[in-house]
Amino acid sequence: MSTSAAAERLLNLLIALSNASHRMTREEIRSTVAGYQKHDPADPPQEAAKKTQAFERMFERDKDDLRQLGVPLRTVTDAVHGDDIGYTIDPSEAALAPVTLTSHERAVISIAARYWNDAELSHAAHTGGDKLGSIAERGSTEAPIAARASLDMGGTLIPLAQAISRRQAVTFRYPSSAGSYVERVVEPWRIVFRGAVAYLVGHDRERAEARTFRLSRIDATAGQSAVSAHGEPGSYSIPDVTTDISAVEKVFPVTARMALRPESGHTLRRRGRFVEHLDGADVFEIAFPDADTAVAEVMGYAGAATLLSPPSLVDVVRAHADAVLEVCRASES
Amino acid sequence: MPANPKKKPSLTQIGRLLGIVAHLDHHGQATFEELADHFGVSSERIKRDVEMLWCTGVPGYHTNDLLDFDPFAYDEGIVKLTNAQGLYQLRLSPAEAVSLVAALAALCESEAAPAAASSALAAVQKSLAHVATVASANATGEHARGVHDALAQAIEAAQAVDVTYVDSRDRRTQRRIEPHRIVVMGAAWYVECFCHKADDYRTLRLDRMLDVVPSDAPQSHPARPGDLSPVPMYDAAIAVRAPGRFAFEDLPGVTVTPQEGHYVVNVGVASPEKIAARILSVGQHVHSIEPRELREIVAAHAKSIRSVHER
Repeated sequence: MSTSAAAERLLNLLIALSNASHRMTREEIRSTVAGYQKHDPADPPQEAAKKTQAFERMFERDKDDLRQLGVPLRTVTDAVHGDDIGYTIDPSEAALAPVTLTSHERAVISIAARYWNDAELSHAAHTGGDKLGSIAERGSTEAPIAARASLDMGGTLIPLAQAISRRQAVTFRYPSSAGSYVERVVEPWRIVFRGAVAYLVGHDRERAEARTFRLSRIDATAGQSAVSAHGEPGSYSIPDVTTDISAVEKVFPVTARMALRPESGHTLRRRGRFVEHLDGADVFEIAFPDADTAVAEVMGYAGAATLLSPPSLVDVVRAHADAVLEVCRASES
Repeated sequence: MPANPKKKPSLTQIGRLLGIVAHLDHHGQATFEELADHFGVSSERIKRDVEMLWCTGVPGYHTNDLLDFDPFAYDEGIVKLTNAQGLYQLRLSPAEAVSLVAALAALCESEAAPAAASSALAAVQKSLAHVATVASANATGEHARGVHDALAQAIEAAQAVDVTYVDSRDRRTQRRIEPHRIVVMGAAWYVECFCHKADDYRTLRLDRMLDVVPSDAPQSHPARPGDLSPVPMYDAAIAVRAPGRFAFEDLPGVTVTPQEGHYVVNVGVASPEKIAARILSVGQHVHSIEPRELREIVAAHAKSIRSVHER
């Protein structure tokens, strides 16, 4: 089967299903869409069975290909004949919203498409970028910057995005507050990005409330099965999380109060808001994207910056420092 | 490791065929050369694509059922779609949408990105099925943009700039640099440059620049191929329990291997302060630290941190 013949058949299938006023059964597809081997009444039964099998295999592959292209192919069962499966594509659902990018925007999209090191994310970003680029203005797409991911999230990002679009719950292993991994069952609602950090907002079934998970903390050692589907697609609906602030709020910044020694914490000073002088130090209020980031930054100042609040994070800072001191002591003895 | 995605040539071709139809639908006619340029293929390839499109359509496949192009224009080398049979460009798949939004969000983070980045992000968000959202960064946009623009202008004019820079030990320094290229790693922005203070090539973080002042001095050192990895002083091996891994995974040249219930992080240490901070940020998950010289720095930092965080 040549590449062109496969592309032509797939295109004809897409046009046929998009234009059909009702669902098309496999038999209708086989007998009307160009490119499939038709049923010939003159064939002896064995020959006919062989051809039917070949059609079934080819059609299965084509369905996979359509889905991979992003086509929302729907399966519809007939109300009267329950086993009679038909297929349909709703063009208003399948079509790209008509956004015409400028050539500058197209340049940025192509930088974004080259961002990933991970093969799967890179491939998806390229094909997605090509779709958006196809309707962009013509013109030069040169841009003077380069971008590269420092961390790859292929194992979690794509399965979560797919689960959200299918409304299918997922399970993954996530560290508990005690530090060990615990299996979580979550109805994923939305992936929220803050800079290069990705979070999942969703409904945690065991805890029976909305929770936020940092993707990089999900146990990714299982590779592709780090996030696995749980239960059937379409098993829940997503509340309007943009109005349900309480769920999303948990990924919004932690505001920390920090005391900075004179002539130190220069970048924090620039980002923060001066509050007061305290015992020879300057107190600033600084927003961090999340608790992990705030703690990591305090640790980087090696004592030149003191975290004053929130108290829960001060406890975390102490606990981490004590634990490391213990490790160092144990190594020396 | 995720399996390699299928890169079927037939799917690549379909992507382009739908692209050509959508492009002509939006922008009217185009020459073979314009389409070839836009889709990054040869004019011959475009010609074969259009000829294939001409043969596809709705079942029946009579003249009126097929996609149609203006034959007279075609003879003049112009592609003009006269009947698309309702064919359209496909929406982004969840994987396509999320991979682009994630990359664009990282690009936009410092707000030093080209202005087109945020409008491109807005456009992508409009066209995806509510899979992902970008929470607006709370950073100091104006300062970041000022730093970025001053560097971009100097790169364009091939001139040096004077920078007030805070190094990884929190020391404020003045240095003259010759900026060559701006690079984003993760969400952090860097400039590859020649630094007169170090008398060598350096990669400096934009968010550590307190001030950038243009100079009239022309650049005297050529750009060299980008390399974000500074020369390591020694190799470190840090054993962590699984929940601590994430703190190390974005370090350049790092490897993380499972070993006897832990993960061993192997990394070349160029800046002990930076690695020490990473170790401390997940201290409760750390099992061992090698070599001793790194351990000593980590212990010293832990003591200082502890001393300013007494109850």
